[in-house]
Amino acid sequence: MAARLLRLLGVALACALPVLLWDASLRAAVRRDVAALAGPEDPARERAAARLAALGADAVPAVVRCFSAEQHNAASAVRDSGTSVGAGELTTPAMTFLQAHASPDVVDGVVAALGDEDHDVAHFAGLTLAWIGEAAEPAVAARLRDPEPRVRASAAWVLSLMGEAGTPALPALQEALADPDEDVRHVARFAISQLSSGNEAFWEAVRAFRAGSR
Amino acid sequence: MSASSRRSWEGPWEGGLALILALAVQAVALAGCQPALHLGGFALLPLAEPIALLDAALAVGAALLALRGLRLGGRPGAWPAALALALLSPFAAEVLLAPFACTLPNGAPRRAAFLLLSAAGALGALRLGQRAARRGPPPGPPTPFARAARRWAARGALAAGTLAVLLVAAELALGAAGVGERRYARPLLILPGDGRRMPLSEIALFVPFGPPPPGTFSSRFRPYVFFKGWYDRPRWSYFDAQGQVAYVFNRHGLRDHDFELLPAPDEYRVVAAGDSFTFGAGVPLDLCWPEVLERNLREHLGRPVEVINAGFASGNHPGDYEPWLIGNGVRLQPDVVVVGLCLNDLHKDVSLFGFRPRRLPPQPLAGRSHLLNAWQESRLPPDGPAEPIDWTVLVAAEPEQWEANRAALRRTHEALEARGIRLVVAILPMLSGLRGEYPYEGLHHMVAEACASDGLECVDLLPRFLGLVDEDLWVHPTDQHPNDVGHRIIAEGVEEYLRQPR
Repeated sequence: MAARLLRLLGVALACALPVLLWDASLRAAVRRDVAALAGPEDPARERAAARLAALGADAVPAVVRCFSAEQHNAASAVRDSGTSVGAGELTTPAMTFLQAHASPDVVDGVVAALGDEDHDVAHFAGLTLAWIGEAAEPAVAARLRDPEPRVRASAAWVLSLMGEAGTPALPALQEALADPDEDVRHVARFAISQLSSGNEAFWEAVRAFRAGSR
Repeated sequence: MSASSRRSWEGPWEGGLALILALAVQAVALAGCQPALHLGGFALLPLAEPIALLDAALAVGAALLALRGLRLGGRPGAWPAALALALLSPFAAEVLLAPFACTLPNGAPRRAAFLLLSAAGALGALRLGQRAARRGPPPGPPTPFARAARRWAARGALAAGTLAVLLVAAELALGAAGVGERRYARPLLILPGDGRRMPLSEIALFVPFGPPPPGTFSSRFRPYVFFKGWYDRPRWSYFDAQGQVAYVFNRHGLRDHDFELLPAPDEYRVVAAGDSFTFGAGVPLDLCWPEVLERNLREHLGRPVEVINAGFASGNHPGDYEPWLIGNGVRLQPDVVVVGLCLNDLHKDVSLFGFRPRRLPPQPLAGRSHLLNAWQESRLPPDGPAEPIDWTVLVAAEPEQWEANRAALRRTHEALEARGIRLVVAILPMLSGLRGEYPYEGLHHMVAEACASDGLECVDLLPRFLGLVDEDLWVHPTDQHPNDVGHRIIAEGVEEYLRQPR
């Protein structure tokens, strides 16, 4: 009996090992490459960029993990910058990479991160989508019908940050005002107010920021 | 080499070393230095980097040693060797798949091919290990040293197990008795939809972008801003299950229900200006004193009443309220403006907590263990009597802020009076030392005397609070803002004053 259990354990380990290794080593390799992107212009940076680009959408789950507070000391970010929205060293290169390679598959991967358990990952995934703008708007607006209320609220929040690029989502946001979840309704109402006329100064700033970050 | 002619350390030695090398290969991979197929094929791999070459050399060495361990057979050597090969199987799979990297599309197909091949490799390695273990010589009788080692290992395990059970039992008992509790975390703001927790100071993020169009009603916050305050294990029932309170702003950027800018006929309208005490930090909107005042006045006056919560509408002190009240406040056509004056309007250093706080070291394991918390608490010096801070001395020594705010109140009063609007200053007490030596009493007198001297109407709410238990009025042990009870007492005091004949 014990021998059989041990054998089963061995088989389970043998099957689980590649999965664990794939994810862990891919995450580590991508983190290393994202860190290289933040470095000076040199061959190592070019190689890192080429590897990440070759991975494309496969890299996204690992790239968004670079947003996690585990990757930087959030407390020191708060202390140093006076705001908790201070990003870790890997956050900006990861966001820039995702923005520069915003194919539909990549956008879908970032949108999926809106529901991430790690709030930092969800937060910066949302900011990345707001950076991407028009190319991300349909996928984000579609998440207003996600079964998970937190994701619906995230989608509305991201649309509120998009500036003019988010305006095609206004009908979907109007529908979200009748959402069964109170938080979603409130965030949708805020998003509508941000995407309605009168916010042109904000839109212009978003446009300029988006252009500057490319 | 036959099993009988080999030395006793052969087999286990190769297997053990192979396992160590395979683990090192994994460690290199997990450090992100693995030349991996999923990074787009070997053409793009960082093979030129020394760490990658070392990784490849380690993998080859581990595989050769593991194969030798398997060939020698015997249980002690075969299983570590088989495990080493299983650990190396993902690398073998990558090498085997490398020639087909270009033909395998990114995503699920490439991942599936890799996973299948490496799982098959790992299973095959374990099967080989099983066969090799059977092939080896049977284990001999244990030596006296092995017997003693086993005996001591059993005793150690028993002692460790007993200790673990005792520790768990102590943790549970202390937890049930409420001893050694984790200290409270500081309150935070949460953006629903964003999920990120931020310090309360981040409230400044929600200010409008750019100046408001001329001639429009505006506030310090954007319309329909929505966020939540989070508290660690709050006491009061008005918090939701997650310990949160919602801050919902209306279309005017005020924390209030929507209202029309112009009052209805026969409506009695009050604008409540102030800071976090009026805004209602840590309290739901309907329990904030302006809302309670609105309900009470409506009930007693028998006519439409609108009390507009303009807490934080323009800043934190009367100097900020002045331009907003003279511009936006007047547009609301109120009968009365009540300024909730907080005592930190007199000096920025006047704190909500009137005593020097006890400095405590951080709890071990971030406060997760009742046992360690209780142990740390027992080693701390005993808590002495709370030492009050004489705030009056501070304000008298540096009166600039108070003088500026007093002048702003005077100017506001003049501007409102010219439009027939009444201004009332409500002195809101700090909720600290109410049962004993209240350290802010001198400040109350200072404000009351200044109002009397400047011809301002003033209601001091301190008498309604004196004698009450501080903690029963706080939002949370980490937040000395008034809770629902404190807001109700403020509302009753203001209402009583407003209903008095002038």
